[in-house]
Amino acid sequence: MQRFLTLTLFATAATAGAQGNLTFVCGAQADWCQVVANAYKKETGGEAKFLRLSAGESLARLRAEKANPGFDVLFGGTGDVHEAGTKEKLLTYYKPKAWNELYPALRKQVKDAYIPLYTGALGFAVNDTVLKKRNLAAPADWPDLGDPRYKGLVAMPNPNTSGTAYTMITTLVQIYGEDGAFDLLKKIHNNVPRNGYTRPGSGAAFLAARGEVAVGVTFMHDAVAQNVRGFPVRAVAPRAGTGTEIGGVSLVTDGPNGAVGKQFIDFVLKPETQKLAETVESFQIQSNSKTPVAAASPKLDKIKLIDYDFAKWGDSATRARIISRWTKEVFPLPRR
Amino acid sequence: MTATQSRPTATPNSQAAPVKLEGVTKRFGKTTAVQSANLEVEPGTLVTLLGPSGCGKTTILRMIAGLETITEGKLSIDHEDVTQLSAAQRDVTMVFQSYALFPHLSVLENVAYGLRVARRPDAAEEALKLVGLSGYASRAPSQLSGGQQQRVALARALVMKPKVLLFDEPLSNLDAKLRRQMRNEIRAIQQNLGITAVYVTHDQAEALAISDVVVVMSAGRIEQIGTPEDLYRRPANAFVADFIGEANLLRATYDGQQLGFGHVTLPYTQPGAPTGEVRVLVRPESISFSDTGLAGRITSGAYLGAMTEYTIDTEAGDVLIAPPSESTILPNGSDVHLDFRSNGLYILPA
Amino acid sequence: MQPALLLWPLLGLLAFCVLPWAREGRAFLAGGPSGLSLLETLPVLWVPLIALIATLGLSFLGRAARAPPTLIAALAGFLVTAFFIVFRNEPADLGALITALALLSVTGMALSDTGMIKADRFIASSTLWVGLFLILFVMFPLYKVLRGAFGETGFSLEAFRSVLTSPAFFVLENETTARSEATLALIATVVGGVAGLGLSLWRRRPVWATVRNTVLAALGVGIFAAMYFGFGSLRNSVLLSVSVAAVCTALALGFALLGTRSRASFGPYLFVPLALAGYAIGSLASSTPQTAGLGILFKAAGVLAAVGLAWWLTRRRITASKLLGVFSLLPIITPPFVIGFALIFLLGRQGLITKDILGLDTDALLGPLGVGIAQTLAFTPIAYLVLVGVVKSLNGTLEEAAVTLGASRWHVLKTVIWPLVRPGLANAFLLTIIESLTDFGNPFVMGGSFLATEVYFAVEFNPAEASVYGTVLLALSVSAILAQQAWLGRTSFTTITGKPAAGMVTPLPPVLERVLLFVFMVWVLFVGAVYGSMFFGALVKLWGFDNTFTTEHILNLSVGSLGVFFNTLKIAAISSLPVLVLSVVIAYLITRQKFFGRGFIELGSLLSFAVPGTVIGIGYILALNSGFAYMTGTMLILIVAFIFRNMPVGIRSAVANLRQIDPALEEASTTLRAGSLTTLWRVVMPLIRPALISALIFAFVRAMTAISQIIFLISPDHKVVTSEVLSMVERGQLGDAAALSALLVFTLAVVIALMTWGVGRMGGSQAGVSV
Repeated sequence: MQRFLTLTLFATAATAGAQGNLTFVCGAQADWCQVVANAYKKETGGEAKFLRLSAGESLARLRAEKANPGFDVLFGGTGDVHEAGTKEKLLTYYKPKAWNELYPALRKQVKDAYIPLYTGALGFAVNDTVLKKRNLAAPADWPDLGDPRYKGLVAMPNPNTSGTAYTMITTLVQIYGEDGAFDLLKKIHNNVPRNGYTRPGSGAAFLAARGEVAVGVTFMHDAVAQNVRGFPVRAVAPRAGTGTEIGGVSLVTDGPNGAVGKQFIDFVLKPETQKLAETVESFQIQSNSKTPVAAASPKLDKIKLIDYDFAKWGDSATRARIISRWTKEVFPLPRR
Repeated sequence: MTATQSRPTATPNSQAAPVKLEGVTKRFGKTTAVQSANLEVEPGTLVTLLGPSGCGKTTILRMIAGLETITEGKLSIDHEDVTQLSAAQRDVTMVFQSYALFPHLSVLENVAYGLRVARRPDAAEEALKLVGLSGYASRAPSQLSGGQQQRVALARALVMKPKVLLFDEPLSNLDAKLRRQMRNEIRAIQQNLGITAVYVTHDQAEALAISDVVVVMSAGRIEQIGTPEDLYRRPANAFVADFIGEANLLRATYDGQQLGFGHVTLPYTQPGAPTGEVRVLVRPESISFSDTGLAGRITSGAYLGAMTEYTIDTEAGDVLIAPPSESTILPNGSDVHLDFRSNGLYILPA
Repeated sequence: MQPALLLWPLLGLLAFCVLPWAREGRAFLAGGPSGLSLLETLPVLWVPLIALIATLGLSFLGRAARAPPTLIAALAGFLVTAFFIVFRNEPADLGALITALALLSVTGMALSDTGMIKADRFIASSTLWVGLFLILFVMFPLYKVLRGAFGETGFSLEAFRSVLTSPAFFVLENETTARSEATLALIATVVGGVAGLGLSLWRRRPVWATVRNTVLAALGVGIFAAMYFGFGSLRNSVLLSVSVAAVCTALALGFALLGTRSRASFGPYLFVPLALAGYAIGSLASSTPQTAGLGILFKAAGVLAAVGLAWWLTRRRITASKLLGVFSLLPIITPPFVIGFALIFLLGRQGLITKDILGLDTDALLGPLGVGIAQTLAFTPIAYLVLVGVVKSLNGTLEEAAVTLGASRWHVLKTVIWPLVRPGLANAFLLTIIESLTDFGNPFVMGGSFLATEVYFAVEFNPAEASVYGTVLLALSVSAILAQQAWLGRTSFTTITGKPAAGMVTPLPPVLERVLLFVFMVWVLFVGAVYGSMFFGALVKLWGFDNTFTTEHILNLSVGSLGVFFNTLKIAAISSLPVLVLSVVIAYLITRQKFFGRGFIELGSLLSFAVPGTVIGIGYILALNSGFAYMTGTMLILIVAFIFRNMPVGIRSAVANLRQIDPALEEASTTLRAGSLTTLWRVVMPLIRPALISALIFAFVRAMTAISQIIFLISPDHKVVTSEVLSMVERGQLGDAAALSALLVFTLAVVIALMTWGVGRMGGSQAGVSV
């Protein structure tokens, strides 16, 4: 009996060492990671196993596993996670073979902290059905979200778990200054229903799509994805300008399978691999300039973008300070 | 199984073992339940621990069983020191006050419980036959009457052929008639098997009826050890005298020849008895009404059927007597005289 | 001479000589060096080897001669092995672990043999084992994670100060409202104090008691008012857990009473729920393009069939007890997200009940209230599992006795049943209050600020803060445990004695029975709606949006989730058996044995349950990601996490059950020369079977539906269903999520049925073995 248990329990097959096999943290949509892993196996024969974790979780996990990392690559997830991870030496910068094919603007913005994987602009997912029933116009700019007319009708992700929400807060800080941004956030807080702070970045778009709220703050590609699925939502870009994220891919420091991680990073940056994203309704703009832009993707040149300072806001101390300020000053506030 | 209703004649048990307690003390925290008890149980005898509740008799029993640890002192069974052995390691079984039959097992399974390892299934059926329950093997304990349940508990204890058999107030849940019947059966089985038994009860009549030796306890101490007759006739102290049977403890003077109750003196000798002011035990049945003798006045009378019980106020103290009932009951306030049978007197040790 | 004396030294020698002692990486038994081959370089290992050989040789001697030298040799061997493993701090393999455990067992048996501890060998060794496990898998991880609260180097007030003063934790004064909450709380404190003083004076209590009562009343009312008027996660968690626990315990007691004592037909109460179900099925069937025109026909047919079924059930006079087992347990077998999302679907702004039935446009039922509803659904079954065993084992003769003394049914309920179920109620209340405090899944999905979610949020940015929150939660849970013990005191409630009795239970008072039946009907309706909406979601294109019938979600299951599903099933199955064994052994140790360290084991066994799963999960990573117990990324770490997380519930329910059993039964077994192990197996386990069933069910179900403690422990090779469902929900694939959840629920239902049947047979076969 004991021997039997021994064999079944302890003989966990170690993937380490096998040719081309690796494990990665999936910071993007799980089905995107799945198609990438499938394509990787098809091309190299190696097994790419992954675990889907949100931005906050992946950072906490990498940190906890620091002494003995279990992953090779962090695939996807907002830039601040990659910035913070690199600063803490949880992640190691690697210059990929396709470096020169990536959009120069993205390369410039992230500097040498991590490798850009995709980009997208922040915006609103607007449900016109809900608005029409209340005779409300769609919000056009950030301050509209704090308008009492939208009480109970606004959803946004929780910055504690979602990189999307952090991008939103820092965008507001960069437009309105820190105190102005927090005043606005407090007004928005008053409009967010009790279940309106969602865990994943795409959660707000999801609530808007289902008509639980009228407006969800989200990356515009997530709004588009809900629209493609058949929900009555559309993506709206805020008039005053909006921030962008640059999702990244990074090598985990001292990952179990060493160089295979680099090989995987080179693989995911190929146009053929990046092209797979739209097949699973991930409509981000891919980082490789040779990857064709999906027809449904929001066109960034039509949107007013702010000059988002990734280096400054990706700093983990700043990140911790901003999120902690929101958690202490805005989140617990009673609603009027 | 050949079902014959006649009980099998038991072979004398060669295992019968002596039990010896030397200075055994049990403390629960700060309270002392048993204070340095010394006791020897002869092989094949039935010894009863008797006393009011809380006197430590059950604690001694449980220490012999191994269910309580011994704080100080030494316990040996069959000349072997078992002080440190656990209950399961001792060759001792017990019949519980609550019977403690396993409700999820049948009668036969209950009896065979201890035999599982030994794999002697016949023994269980023999034991059931011994207690007269052969037909009930497959019943659930809850389907039996109280007396039958107790028999199952007895069979379960007997079947292990223990060196010592312990009884913890086994009859207290039965009615008076059944109790008398069961106690006779227990005594018969014990004597047939020649097994050493320790029996706990607070019922002195039961103790006298069943025992070879009775140990009277009070407040954690052993007051007296003796045969039933010893205890009744020659109690070691007032507590024992009072606890066993009905007792009149009268003030008297004794000079080695004469026993004086107030104005009345009787010739009496008792070797080794103290002299001077003494207390004398007189059992009610040793007192009768007479024309002369100790004078007194009836303060109460109660008709009990076969006899009538009177309390009489005398110079030597209150006296309880119980003469056979006559057609008339003497009224309260009647002046009477009492006569003592001299072989019914006993001067308590000082 | 018993075989156990030989077995352990032999097993230890085998482990020493044959099995590997060190690992290269995660994998066990991957061909590392054995203890024998390490001897040359590490001469210290001669100590365990000599100890093993010595104890083997000594086992042939008599007890008195054997015990002391065996104790010295085994203890020395164990200590050297343990220190070797810990201080070498490299991944240890089974060889080292089994050697250490073997020496520990020999130590325990020798301790028993010397008489130094008054317990038999089994009790002595299992106490040592349990203590070791608790230190390794509960204390050590907790220490690792809570140490953060006190700073890396020593005690640091800073982390505490910053959390405790944060409005996210607790704030009394809400500056946006006109009233002053602080003043209100102060007034309440004064009122409470005056009331306490007045009552004490009126009752003419002594001075000391008067002062105490006044202070207690003032504090109690003051704290309640502060919680009521205040804000923050502390307030939310406390209010939520107390009210959820009260409601759950009350519901569970009602259901348990109904299940055992209701004689009335439940049929009439079933018309409404069944008719609604019939309508729903009808509308689902008429949702495909082919059947669209037949809507009315289908719905009418559905309702008619349902009414017919209800009528038939009424005619058959089925009682509520038939349905109780199913409906009172169903919610337990659901991952929290499913209830959460079903509630959004039912009670949200677009909700079926809120919008379509009641015509409301509100989100008031989500948020904290929604968390409360979801938790009530989720935790009532836990309370029920604890209470049903207690209510079932009530001795009918006691009630008969009360009735013959002229008591009315109400009076019997109040004077006989209530005091007897009180320990069970306390246990149920304790479990639910802790469950609610540490629940992470429901608040996470439904929103709102609670301590358990704050822990999770803090883990990322400020681990020290997470540790503080963890400490606060631990303190709350431990206070709940202490309060429970104070309430129960030392009273004993023995209803199973060896004196068999078969009394009839008294029926419920008719009014109460009708009320309970109605409550149960609402419960059935609601649980039915939650499950209905889940199955509905699995069968329509876009849950709640495009309600067209489709099988695509079910077909999608086979693509990737099935592997994860079977993996989870395996983990749950493997982990639930140790939970059962440990629960029985630990419950037996703490209720029936007196030994040094009993308090340690009792508290230690509850600790892993008294902190949020997230905290324990992080602790496991911190403690077990390197060093001798390196096991992150394996299936083993998930199993171990589940065992020690789910064990406390088993222990509590076994303890509640054991307290009702007359110790004389076990004593009888002991005097019949059965050792503790035999007594446990042949007397205790059959008698506490209801508790065992619930422990087993609970362990299995929790292992399949848990999320918080393993969110940080899962690895790409060992994913679990709940994380899969969660990520589907995040992707918006609600249909797939619903289909996977439905599969999970269905499987759990089957497994529970099999377990109940199997454990039932366990006792049955005992009775059937004729000698």
